[in-house]
Amino acid sequence: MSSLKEKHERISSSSALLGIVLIAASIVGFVLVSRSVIRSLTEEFLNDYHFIMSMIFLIPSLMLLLPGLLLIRFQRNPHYIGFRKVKTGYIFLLVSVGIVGIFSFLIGGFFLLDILK
Amino acid sequence: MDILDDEIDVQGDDLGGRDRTALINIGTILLLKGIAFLLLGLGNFFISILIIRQAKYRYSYQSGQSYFEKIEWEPLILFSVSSLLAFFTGYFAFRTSVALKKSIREHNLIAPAVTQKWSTYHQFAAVLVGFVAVDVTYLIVKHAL
Repeated sequence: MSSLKEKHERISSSSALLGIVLIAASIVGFVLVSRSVIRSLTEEFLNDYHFIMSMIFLIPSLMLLLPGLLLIRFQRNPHYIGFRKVKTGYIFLLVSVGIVGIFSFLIGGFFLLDILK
Repeated sequence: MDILDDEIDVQGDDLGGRDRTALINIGTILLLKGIAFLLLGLGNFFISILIIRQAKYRYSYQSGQSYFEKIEWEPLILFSVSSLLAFFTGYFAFRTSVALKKSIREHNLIAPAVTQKWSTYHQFAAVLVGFVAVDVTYLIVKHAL
């Protein structure tokens, strides 16, 4: 018989892995994309299109930080954090993945339709 | 569906009212995340096809090069692997969502089968997020943005 505590621990150990990756991806994404935002504002050969594209990826990369931190905190003390905080983290992750997913679909679909014409 | 036929352990601890609501909401969020992951997978799949199609335009019989030499392999591998991973993660998200909601609504507990599926989803999501970060890094570095 596995208690609720053991089940919390089983989920929380894998959530810590996801949390660490989310924080790493957030930092890498933020550094790289913010660099391209600054370059698109200062250099002449980069235009508004580059700026908008960079901003689209900047927001999701920042939004990955909160679910990452919450999932790591959930691993350290699952009973204190509870599932309601995990839900908040999941909402942020959903928005982040949703933005990247929808834009990836639209950009891929648009260019593919363009080349297939 | 085999997801619905899993045996559920009814010996675990019951959940409180607030945890129960939170877990049902998590199930719904997982369902939506599954859709987002599938969209991401489709988008990356389109980009992979685009890379192959672009090689066809650059290829000419006079140049003496083979068709395969014109294909950009690094982005093709990155986007096709992340497309596959996104499809798998989306599937695991759907699977976890269905099993979690069923377990909570019918037995008011988290079944061991659900924790297993949830862990698998977390692991796949971690690998996918890492891969997407590599994709974005590659695009930014390659195009010198």
